[in-house]
Amino acid sequence: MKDLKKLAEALGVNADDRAVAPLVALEKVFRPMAERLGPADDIAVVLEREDEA
Amino acid sequence: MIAATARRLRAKEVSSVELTNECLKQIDQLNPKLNAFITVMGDAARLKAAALDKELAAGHDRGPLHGVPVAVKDLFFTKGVRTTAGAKVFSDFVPDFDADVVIRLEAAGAVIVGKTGLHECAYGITSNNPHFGAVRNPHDTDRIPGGSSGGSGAAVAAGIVAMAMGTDTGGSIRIPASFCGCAGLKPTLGRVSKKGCFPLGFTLDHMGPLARTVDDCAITLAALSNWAAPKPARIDGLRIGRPGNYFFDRVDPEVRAAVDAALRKVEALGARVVPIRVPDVDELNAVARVLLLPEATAALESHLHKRDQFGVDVLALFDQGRLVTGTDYVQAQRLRKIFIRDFNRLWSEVDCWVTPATPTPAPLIGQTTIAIDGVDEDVRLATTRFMRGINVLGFPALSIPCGKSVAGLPLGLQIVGPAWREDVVLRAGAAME
Repeated sequence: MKDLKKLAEALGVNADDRAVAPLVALEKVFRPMAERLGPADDIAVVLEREDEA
Repeated sequence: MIAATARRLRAKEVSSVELTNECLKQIDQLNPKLNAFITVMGDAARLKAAALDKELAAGHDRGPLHGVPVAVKDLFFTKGVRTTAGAKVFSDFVPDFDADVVIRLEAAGAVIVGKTGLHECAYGITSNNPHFGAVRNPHDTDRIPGGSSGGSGAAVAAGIVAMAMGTDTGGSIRIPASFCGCAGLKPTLGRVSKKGCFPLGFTLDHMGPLARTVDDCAITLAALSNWAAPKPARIDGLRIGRPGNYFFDRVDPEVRAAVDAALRKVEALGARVVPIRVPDVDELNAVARVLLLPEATAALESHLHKRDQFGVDVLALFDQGRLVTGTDYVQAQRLRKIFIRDFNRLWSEVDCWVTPATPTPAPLIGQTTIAIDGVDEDVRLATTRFMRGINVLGFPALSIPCGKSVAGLPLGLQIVGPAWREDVVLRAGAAME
């Protein structure tokens, strides 16, 4: 979510404050957490249960 | 209510055709005011009810939902019946198969009378739909019913149906339950099949009932899945957590007082209320948003070039979804595992925990900010902040009414339990309602 305005312009999506401002706020909470992740932190892969099929 | 109706049907005090006709009459009377239904399936419902009456008379009993009128959110595919997702781009979409939820309900004998209104694409909490009109709260029609399953909440609260199906990606069952004053169950992630339901958050979507009572939620869950309702149990010794951080920090004082009164009630019945501290919920909610934004955009991507066919609010969210990088989405999934592990540690201290469902009663239609404890908040973010993160964890969560505000609006509380332990949240909910 860095350089959001530039990314928005590059992708051709709405780059005004209504689209970007909430992500700037989100970035402030999310980025420090993401930077704390270590190599042992995996994704939980969940197999579907029978009744989900 | 469903159990009582089932008894009346078996005692021949009423027939399914009579119940269905009464229900359709109420839709005729109330829908112009509430806009709870997008599509009414009157003829099909009457035919189905007549067939179910014959079955019951012949001794073929499908269980407690046999002959009971219900509704489903217009997000569930219904074969041959328009399914809009509340979106203009799907306004003429007619599926050629039924959602698993619809198949399960019909196999249990439920009579589907119609498809309920919702926030566009189930992506919001107001149900103020730019294409199909605003759904209105039966307790005050100037107010939102919540969303995204707003039509289901309104239909149940108005007494039109005993149960209406909803979906919940960040609170969309529990919010309308809270604002409309009914029960709403988000089962464990994966408990109820999503097949044949428009997706919003592929790893966050849950299917579940909104109903007048906790018992009706349990009856419905048993029909929707392989879950079997346990025998009613007392709550002596049940350890109920009350988070000392986050969930009671920025809340309308009336909501806080109502939730605490409900906790005192169960304590008097023999449950033990245990103070707990939960991991950082602001962080958990941030993970939820980083997951949902790109998942929702991916779900609708092939339609998003038709920008003029989407409402302003959902379009802004779909645009935001394109701005979350693939790397950050993966990091959010990795963080999700850490949060599940950390929240699971709470189960050594308590059997379930209780929070306010929403921090306030229902806002007005069109209201975009709300003041809570002197702080102005965005209505959508404020309304979802006690619920959104629970979808990341996948835990079962039940919203039930816990009183009314001075202005007469319903207030709700939320009970959260361990994965696959719907029995615990339903047991606590039955004692508290």
